[in-house]
Amino acid sequence: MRGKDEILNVLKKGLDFSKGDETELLYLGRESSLTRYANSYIHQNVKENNSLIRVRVIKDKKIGFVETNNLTIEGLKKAVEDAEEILNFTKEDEAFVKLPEKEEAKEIKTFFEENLKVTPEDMAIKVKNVIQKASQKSLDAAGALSLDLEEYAVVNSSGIEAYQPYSSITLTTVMMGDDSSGYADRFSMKFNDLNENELADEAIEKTLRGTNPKDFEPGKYEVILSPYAVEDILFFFSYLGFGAKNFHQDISFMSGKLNEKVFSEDVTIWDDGLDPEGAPVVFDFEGVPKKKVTIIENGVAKAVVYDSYYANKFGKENTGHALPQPNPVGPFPFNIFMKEGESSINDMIKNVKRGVFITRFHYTNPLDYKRVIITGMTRDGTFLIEDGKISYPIKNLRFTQNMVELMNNVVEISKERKLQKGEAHVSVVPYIRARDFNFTGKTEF
Amino acid sequence: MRDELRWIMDEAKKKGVSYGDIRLLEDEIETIDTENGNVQGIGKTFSKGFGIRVIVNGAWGFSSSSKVDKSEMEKVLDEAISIAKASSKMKKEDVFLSEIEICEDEFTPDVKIDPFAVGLDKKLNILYEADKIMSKYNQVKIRRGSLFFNKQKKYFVSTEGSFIVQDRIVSGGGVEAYAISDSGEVQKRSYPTSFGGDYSVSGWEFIENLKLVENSDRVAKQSVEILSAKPCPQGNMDIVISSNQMALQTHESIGHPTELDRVFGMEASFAGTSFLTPEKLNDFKLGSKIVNITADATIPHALGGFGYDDEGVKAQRLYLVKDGNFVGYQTSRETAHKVGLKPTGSMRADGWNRIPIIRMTSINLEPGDMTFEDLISGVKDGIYVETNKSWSIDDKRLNFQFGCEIGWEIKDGKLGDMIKNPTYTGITYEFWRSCDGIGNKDLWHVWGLPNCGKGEPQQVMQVSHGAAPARFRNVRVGVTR
Repeated sequence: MRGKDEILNVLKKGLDFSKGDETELLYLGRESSLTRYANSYIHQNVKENNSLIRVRVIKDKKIGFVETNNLTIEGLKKAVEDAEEILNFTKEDEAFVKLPEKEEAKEIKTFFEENLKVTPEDMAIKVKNVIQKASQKSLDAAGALSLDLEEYAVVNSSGIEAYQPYSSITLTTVMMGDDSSGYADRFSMKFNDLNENELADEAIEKTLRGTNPKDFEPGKYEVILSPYAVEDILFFFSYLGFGAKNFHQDISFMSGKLNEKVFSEDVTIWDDGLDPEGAPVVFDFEGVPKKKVTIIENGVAKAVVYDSYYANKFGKENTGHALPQPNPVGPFPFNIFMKEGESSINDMIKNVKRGVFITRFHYTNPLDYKRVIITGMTRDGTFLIEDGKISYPIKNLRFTQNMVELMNNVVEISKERKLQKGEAHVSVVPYIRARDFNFTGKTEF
Repeated sequence: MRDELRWIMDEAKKKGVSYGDIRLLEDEIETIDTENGNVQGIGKTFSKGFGIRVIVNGAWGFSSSSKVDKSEMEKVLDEAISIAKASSKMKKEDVFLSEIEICEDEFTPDVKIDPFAVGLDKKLNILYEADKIMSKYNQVKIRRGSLFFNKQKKYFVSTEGSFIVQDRIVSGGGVEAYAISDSGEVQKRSYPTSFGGDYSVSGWEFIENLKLVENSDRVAKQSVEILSAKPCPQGNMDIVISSNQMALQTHESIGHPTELDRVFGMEASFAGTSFLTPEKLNDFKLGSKIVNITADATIPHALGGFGYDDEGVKAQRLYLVKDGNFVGYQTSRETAHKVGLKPTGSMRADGWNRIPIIRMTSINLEPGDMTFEDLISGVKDGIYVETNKSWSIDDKRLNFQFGCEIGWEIKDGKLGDMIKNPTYTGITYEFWRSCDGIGNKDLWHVWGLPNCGKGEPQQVMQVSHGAAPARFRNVRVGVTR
């Protein structure tokens, strides 16, 4: 960890080198430790330490970018000069207006010093606890424990000087028996808050319950999706539909549908980078403070998220959702919340006459970006529900599902919600019960 | 720097490691992206760093740093040793490595024109020209072009005495058109294939040979035509699959399940395991007798090719599937030792800061003897599909489903009407056993895939696949809503 003063001083030196109309320097630094285990032993234990700076120089509406991990004065100077060199070849971007200006940001604690004291032994002990619990039930455990200590900083020629340290810990496990498996994961910003025993118990329970899975014919069924699966779906909505770029290019399911009902009225979704119930981040990768954006309210499409470029281009408020530039994805919501319902998960199961409980998805991929048609498999705990009870485990199924239709078919949402780290964001998500989920194939296990 | 690398491995031996290696990488990347005639981004990335891997007390440890000097190397070595000691407390058995030939060598690929010496104006002109041609079609609302160049120098030094220096230059690029109908339907067409195009261990000459400008009109026109095409038929029928889609089919259903670390469960918590368990080796019919699949890191210019892997094992060619039989795995020194096989030179890391894991090299469906006309003429009622749009496969690599950008009906041995949103699905071994036609050498092409994801933290690897169009019988198609 380099610390605020050292990083901001380096970035400000970079500003001094620039001859551009406007200049931005983004610092991304990370010390990452990862302990990976499989077959109930540690097979990969690694540490990396890397810092890089992304330079964006603008002159006459032309934009040049360079990224370097050479943080010496010479390296920084060269990066700025290389970015300026690019300006000689690129065209003016008429839609570019200006870099964002400084805004006051809320102070939120996103880094916990206790994480600095975590040793490789501490990591191994947490993993050992999971493995021991698995061994007591004659199961094999696989998974990973990661500890990331990060620093972000942005300095630009319009006065932004933003710095944020960030710590996060993720523990995953797949427990495996002879013919079944169970999954659990936990995310925390404090190492000692991560409860590996509770995680192991959850995965063990799924694995033992999943023994001797039966063949099951695909078709349309009512489903209960656990937060692991719901986070997967919300990632695709975020990636394909909730950002300003796809929205204005008419390739988002929300394009042209603001203030129209797009989901069930039970569904409310928002992004809030400042809510400590999630995994808060104070500002985006342009140094702009995060703003809460209600994306779907009672099923009605209300808004998408913006960065400075798309906010200026379309005359909207910058909501603080920039990714590191340049980026083909456009603005992206990192902190998704889905509103809780009133039912307990146990009550939701009781309300199913015949349906399928899905623990999580595997290898999901969009077939149709705009309609958000996703295919994938179920994994690590798929069960038949009959007459309000989980009756028996079933072999994994393939689904091919229009997720917008799924969100229209939601009939019940749990009051329990989970802090869930996904492929690209951390969300707070409930269980959902929905009608007519489209299973299109099956496999042999 | 060579002296420092030898010195730190000597230090590792003095500190009692039973094995150690260091990889030092210097990496330079240039990316150029255009969208609707504007520059979306021109980016240059420079990265330098090293990673040290050790075995202590029979367990692995790895640490890395971007600060390249002797004192940092010593610090990182100590970290790696301390991590290995922590790992050893949770070991089941000691790690053993298969013996390999120790060598001192340098490897330089055959590159004619250094792409980093070619001006940005020349590079941009290709994308601008392609964009201009695609802009003729009003319904094409989004036009994208991209070029990618990567220059790398890599040192590998081990406590066993290997000292290998490798250079690598990669060039790649592609164009794509998105047509949008009045009702809001979106259809995409890419050239030469999806997800950024084609890539090769080559110089600027590869980009010139791609002929992006010459193909942009067809791509844009087809994206518009797909909007009014028939839907893909539903049911079981014969299918002919293009060369670029066969590359991904081979990747997902043969490449990944033959990685021996997956078979041993090392990827169980993330990408999954494999149905190709060890008892099936040499005793499992994976495909029809015409199916031959190789892992070949020696193909000149293949994106999955190199001189030596990241354990210092020389590049090689081997069969994974021979005459339809499952006959080989992709292995590391550690996994090969466990089952008494030889290391296949498959261990690679995607950067200095990552540990090497088993990665595909060039996994190739070897060519057959049919012309494209032969493949089509043998189908009474079926479809022909081109270019991947979507892919998914279960965590043992059995049930797969692919979507393609475009397709055509085949009726009575002839290509018919265009179809939209074609998909097909199956069980891996049933599908490959139904293969009864593979295109000949003239139709065979090595496709570079720059974005194969595996491992935690996820590593993105450059791999490749030689493939020709192929025909499969009685496959379920049209699985979409």
